[in-house]
Amino acid sequence: MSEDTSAWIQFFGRLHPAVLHLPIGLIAGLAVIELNALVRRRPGPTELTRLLAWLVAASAVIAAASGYVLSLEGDHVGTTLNLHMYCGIGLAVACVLMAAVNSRARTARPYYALLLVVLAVMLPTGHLGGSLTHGDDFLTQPFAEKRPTASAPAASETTSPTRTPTTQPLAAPAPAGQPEAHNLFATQIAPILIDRCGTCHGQSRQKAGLAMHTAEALARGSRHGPVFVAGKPGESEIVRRLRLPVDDEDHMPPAEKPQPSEEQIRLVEQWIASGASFTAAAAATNASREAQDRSSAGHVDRQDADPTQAVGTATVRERSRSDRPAAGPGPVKPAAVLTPVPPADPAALAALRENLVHCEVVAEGSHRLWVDFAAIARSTDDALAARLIEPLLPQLDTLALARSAVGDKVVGLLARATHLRSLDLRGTKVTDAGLAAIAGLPELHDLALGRTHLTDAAAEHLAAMPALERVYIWSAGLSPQAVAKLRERRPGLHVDAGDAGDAKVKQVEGEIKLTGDLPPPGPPPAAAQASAAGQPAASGPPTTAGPQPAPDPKPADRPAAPTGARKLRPANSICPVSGKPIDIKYVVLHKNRLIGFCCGDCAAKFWADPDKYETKLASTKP
Amino acid sequence: MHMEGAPSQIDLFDHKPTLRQRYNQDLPDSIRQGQRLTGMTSGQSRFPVAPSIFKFSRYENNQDGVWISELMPHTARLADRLCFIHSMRTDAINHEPGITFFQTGNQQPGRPSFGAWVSYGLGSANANLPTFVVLISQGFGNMQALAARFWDSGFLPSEHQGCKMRTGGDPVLYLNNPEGVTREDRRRMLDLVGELNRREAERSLDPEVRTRIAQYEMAYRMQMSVPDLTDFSDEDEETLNMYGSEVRKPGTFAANCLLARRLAERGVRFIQLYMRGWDAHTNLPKQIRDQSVAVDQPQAALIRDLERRGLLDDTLVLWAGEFGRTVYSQGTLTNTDYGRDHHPRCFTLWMTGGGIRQGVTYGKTDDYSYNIVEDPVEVHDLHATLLHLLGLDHLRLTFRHQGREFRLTDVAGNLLKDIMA
Repeated sequence: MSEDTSAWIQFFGRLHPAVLHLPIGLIAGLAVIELNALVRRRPGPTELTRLLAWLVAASAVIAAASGYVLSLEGDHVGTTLNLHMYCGIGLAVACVLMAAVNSRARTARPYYALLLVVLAVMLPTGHLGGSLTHGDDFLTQPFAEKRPTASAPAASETTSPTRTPTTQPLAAPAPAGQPEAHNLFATQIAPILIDRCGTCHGQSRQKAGLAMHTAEALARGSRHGPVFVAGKPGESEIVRRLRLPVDDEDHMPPAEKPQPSEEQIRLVEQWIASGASFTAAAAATNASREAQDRSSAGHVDRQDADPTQAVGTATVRERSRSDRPAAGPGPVKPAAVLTPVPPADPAALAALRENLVHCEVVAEGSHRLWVDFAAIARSTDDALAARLIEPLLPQLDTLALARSAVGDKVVGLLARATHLRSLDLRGTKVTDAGLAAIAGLPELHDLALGRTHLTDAAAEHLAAMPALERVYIWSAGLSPQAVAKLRERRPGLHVDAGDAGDAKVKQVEGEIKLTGDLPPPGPPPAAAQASAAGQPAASGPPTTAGPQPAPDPKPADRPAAPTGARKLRPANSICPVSGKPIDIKYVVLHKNRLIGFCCGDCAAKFWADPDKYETKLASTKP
Repeated sequence: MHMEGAPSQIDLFDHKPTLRQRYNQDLPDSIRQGQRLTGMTSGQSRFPVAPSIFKFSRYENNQDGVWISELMPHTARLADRLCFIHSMRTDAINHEPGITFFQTGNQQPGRPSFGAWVSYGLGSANANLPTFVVLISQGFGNMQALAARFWDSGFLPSEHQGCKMRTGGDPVLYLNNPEGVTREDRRRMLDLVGELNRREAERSLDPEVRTRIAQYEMAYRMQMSVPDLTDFSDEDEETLNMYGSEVRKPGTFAANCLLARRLAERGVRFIQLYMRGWDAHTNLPKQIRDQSVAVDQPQAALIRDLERRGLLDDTLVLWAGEFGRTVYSQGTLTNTDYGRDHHPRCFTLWMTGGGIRQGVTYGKTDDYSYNIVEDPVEVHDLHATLLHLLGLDHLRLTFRHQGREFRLTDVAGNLLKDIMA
């Protein structure tokens, strides 16, 4: 078969989606005509129905044949396809039979029977075909969306709300003892692939022979080769296609389909870079490690939401935050693994803004909030804070009430803020009872309690907090014994009680001895200058009073280097202009000798009229 | 913390013990390599090596330990939290272009300062205070002029410029309404002026008019927020003592360090402390002693105070001058006295806080602390890294001006991944 022919055959196959509607319409039309004839009691074949029946037969055969050719492309496999194929072929056969019976048979009964059969087969055929193209649950999805699902998948925050994963996340083979919740591929990568790629590369549909719904299928790759190269995201086809411009022909997913977020692409890249293991634990990836590191830099990191305006408004700063550096700080955990929260009540956000309380989302596309009362801490009490916070409890991610006058009433409210991850209660009136109320918060990992009035009993509540990673309890009323006990009970917990120690001295330098190969100038500057001036002049004792200069060492005692330098010492020790001792910084070369001055001004005066100072210069000479 | 005037790296952090045996030797040409000098020493007949006369000790950190001079005993005890870069270099050799380069990424004035970029990029977290505050302390050594353009917003909207708080008297002028003017009067006045300004903004479309409106409103709110900010009476005795005896004297470095902590905990995004007086061309040992006494205890206290309050994880602390100082003596060299000239080829700075790898040193200089031999760090590299740690991509934090996109790092800047946690 020549290339040309095979291309034409493929073209014929791809006509299937267009052609298949012809028999459906014709059959429906034929049925309507026959129904009409029955009602008007004028049954029996006519010219028109005979023609229509043959048209139905021809178009059904063409549709079936083209469908068969299309199935050879292999984008679809599985039971749905097989059923659709059998039904389609059956339908074509039934149509031909019906046309033949209509033309030849004397009575109308067999014809009507066959028409009923055709109608009966057409419905499942069409539905199966639709399921192949649009996904299994395409029809029923609108009903499924309305029902809250008890077992919501660990969907990413960025999951578009109109689409839920159509296939169950695969159970990646987890090593014994490793809970699946910690398996990176199963918890973070597979949901992305299934959600963004699964419709075309999943269980029921495998375009280009590629399925991504199981680890095995993903590892197998597509008809064109492997999907990824472990450890090398740069050489991996999946990354190449994800990273192509959206309008590029090879870009995946196709431009009109929902696109994965930057964060999700990065996760896939990092998973490949870390070896593309189907079994590795989540903590082993860069993404999570970064996330953990970043969690210690919370405030610094939380700016990716709109900085000045309130949540959700766009400003010129969009540019700077929307595409963040690949390894850049982000939310404390990658957005993909934060449990999503419902959007906040706009009225509640407006109330925060009205009261100058800072509020922004913790990550782009998330509804989780960072709320900071710093601006109005001094005038914030239980009533105000409670009123502002209460409508936003489900959205609270990071809350700072430091230095405000809030107490257990507000803290008690926070027991309902189940997504709260970071809480700053520094300098507030919180007590042990308040802490007890929030001890069960499932996500709280960062808690600042400095300068509060707690007691040793608070240590119990802190130790009970399930997700706590860092707690600051400097000057919080806990005794050193209670702090020590807390550290003992929760060894992994970072407890900062303001008692962090000093860096110890490892080594102390010995006595400093300054040595060189020049005779050290004497400590008093005057003496040094005397020595500097005295040596090169060499025509008598120096005129300046002062200690006797050190004797000039013999040339043999000294290495060569300094000799040249010594020749350049000024010829005088007293500034010819001011009469003060010279400063070696200010020297002028005049008539083949260096003349020193006490300051730059004197040098300038001298330079204006050198001859004027000639006598003075001579007099300062020995 | 900007140490204006350029502290001597050789006497503080860049330990060169072998120089002690090269006292008063001439600086080898192989080291100087024809380096241009300032007019202050270019006329000098020789360049005698001046080793530091200060004793160094090695403090434990997360590597092999770090040598720190006896001048900084309090800071040294935090060695396990600090990240030292010994291999900073700059293009400028004089203060004015040096500070301008360090603050704005360009030696010529006119670009927005680092703080203004941060304010622009991060926005405000406290509507009652400016996003960028500048605090200045007078030094005890040779001081150079500080120009307001070091914290200017350049072509960025002027609400991002640094707000300099005064060091004596009222930190912000005219905080109190004049006699006979009530806060309600002030409000009515601002409403009326604001309305006029709004009409002007609609007429002229000048964005600076809107900035002006915002600034008036900010000033009105600061009338309430600043007294609370600068009133230290809610600090306990232990905290005040930690910052040292000078903390009660407004304008001292100690007082400004405490103020910086109070600003940080109020969500002010960028706080800059200038300490003047490090320009020790002569008489360096005395000057650096006085300067170090003034900064050492307060800056260490600031770090400890941030740490125990849980703020250090969210705060990036940087301590740097605009360049280094020469190994050779400017002016007379004696056993107890020497001076040092400007040296752009290498200097030391340190950082700590959010995202920084703690207790490490980065980069090396040669035996004379004259040239960098390992991991040179350009100012733009530092800027890119700092922005990154603040959550901003230096390649994408841009502002369109005069027909093109500008960024802090211009066309340079590499992230220093090795010093990130």
